[in-house]
Amino acid sequence: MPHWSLRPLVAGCVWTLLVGVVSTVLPDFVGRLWVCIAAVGLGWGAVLLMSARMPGDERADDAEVPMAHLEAELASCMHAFEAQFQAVETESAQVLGVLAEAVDQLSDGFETIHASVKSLPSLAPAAGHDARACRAALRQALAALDQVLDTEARHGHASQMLSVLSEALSTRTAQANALLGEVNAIAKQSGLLALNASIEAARAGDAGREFGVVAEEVTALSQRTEGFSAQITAVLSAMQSLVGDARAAMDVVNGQNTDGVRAVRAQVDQWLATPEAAVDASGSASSLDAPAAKIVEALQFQDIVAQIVGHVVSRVGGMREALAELGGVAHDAALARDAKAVGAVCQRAERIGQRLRALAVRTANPPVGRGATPGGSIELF
Amino acid sequence: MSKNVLAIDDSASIRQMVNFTLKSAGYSVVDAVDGRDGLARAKSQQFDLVLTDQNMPRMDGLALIRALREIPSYQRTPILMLTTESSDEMKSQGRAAGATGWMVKPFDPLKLIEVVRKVIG
Repeated sequence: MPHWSLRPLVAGCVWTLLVGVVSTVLPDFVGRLWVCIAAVGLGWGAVLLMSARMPGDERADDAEVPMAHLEAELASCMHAFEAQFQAVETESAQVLGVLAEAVDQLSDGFETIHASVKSLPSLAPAAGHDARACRAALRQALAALDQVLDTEARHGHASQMLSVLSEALSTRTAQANALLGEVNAIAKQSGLLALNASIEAARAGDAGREFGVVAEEVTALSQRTEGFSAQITAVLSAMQSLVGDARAAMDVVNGQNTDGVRAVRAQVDQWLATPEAAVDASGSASSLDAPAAKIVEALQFQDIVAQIVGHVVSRVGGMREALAELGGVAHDAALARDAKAVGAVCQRAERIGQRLRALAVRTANPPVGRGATPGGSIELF
Repeated sequence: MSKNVLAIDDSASIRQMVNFTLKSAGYSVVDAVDGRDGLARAKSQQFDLVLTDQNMPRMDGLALIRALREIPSYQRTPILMLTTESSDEMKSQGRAAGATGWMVKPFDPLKLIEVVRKVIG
């Protein structure tokens, strides 16, 4: 079935007007009428003949709509990727903040314990008890404390390592963002290509050849898309690897600190059980409970960090799946040679968009509360 | 005889901290790594208090509470949630499921002991 596009109709109208204007200068009315009819008829006939197209041209027009649709879907996907990556960056910053807070609290707690225990030797002689036994017990406590302090130093080192890893995570995320910027540009390019193809098809009337041009462009586009899709996947894989390292580091830190806290607690308990020291130590013992509680509280931040990191891993995993799907779409786009195939590609792109929207909903609520209730609060129903 | 507490959390560090805190206060503590593990332990032994996390693999805290409340011997047993979740919506769900109280991580060990003493003595 022949198609009529807007451009030949406009040309026909312009021709009619032109003939009408020119005919006004002819002196003879009847002659002018016949000349007008003949000129308009010839003009319209030529326009109709030139604009009538072969059936193959339909593919170009049909392809125009899906290609525009594809461009819109890809742009939507890219916006979703941007939002996800921004969230990853925010969560990484949250990891750094939580770690810094944990390290500060640990340092404060250990310093308080250290100061309290060191002040005890001077208390026993003043109270008139056996200073030798008291000092011996305290030496043991101090040795255990030194061990804990050594552990704390290692904790600091491990935390620094984790900070470096988290910063690397942010850097790689920024790199991925840059790559996604390119994706966006290419999505726009695909829209321009579709437009150009439709114009060329209308102008030349040989849509089979023009659609071939479009197909070639789509092939080049998809090859490029596949290339950076693989790049993004590699970046995300590296991100996940880094996060895994971070978690392993936290596990090591956790084991070290728990053992250290237990050791110091056991030694302090033993020291409190020493009859000579018990009376003198009683005042300081209560002052040790609060710092120990502070350490216990600080150690829980590692669990919170692990949950945040787990959330990041979940988000990144979702993006990787979507990117893999995108690679498949690019591949199919490379093979698309008709409107039906392009339409199928569009449907796949739509599914990626749906998957990303589902991911956004699924990961909207991070495991670590952003609610009104602060950490440490207790509510009995 | 000391009161016994079932502490359920998929985080090893949290289990250690809860264990350390409650044992130092004289309670007997049994650990479980997730809701399903906790349910199995609760069925094999009666506990005076259940302390559970919300986000856990296999079975989460709310599902565990619902399952425990169906067991006659646990219908009146105090169950405390200890979780990073702090939204009012989650707390409402916890209350509806049968939780006794809601504690937001990170917990203050002294406050935890205070609450446990208040609930089970």
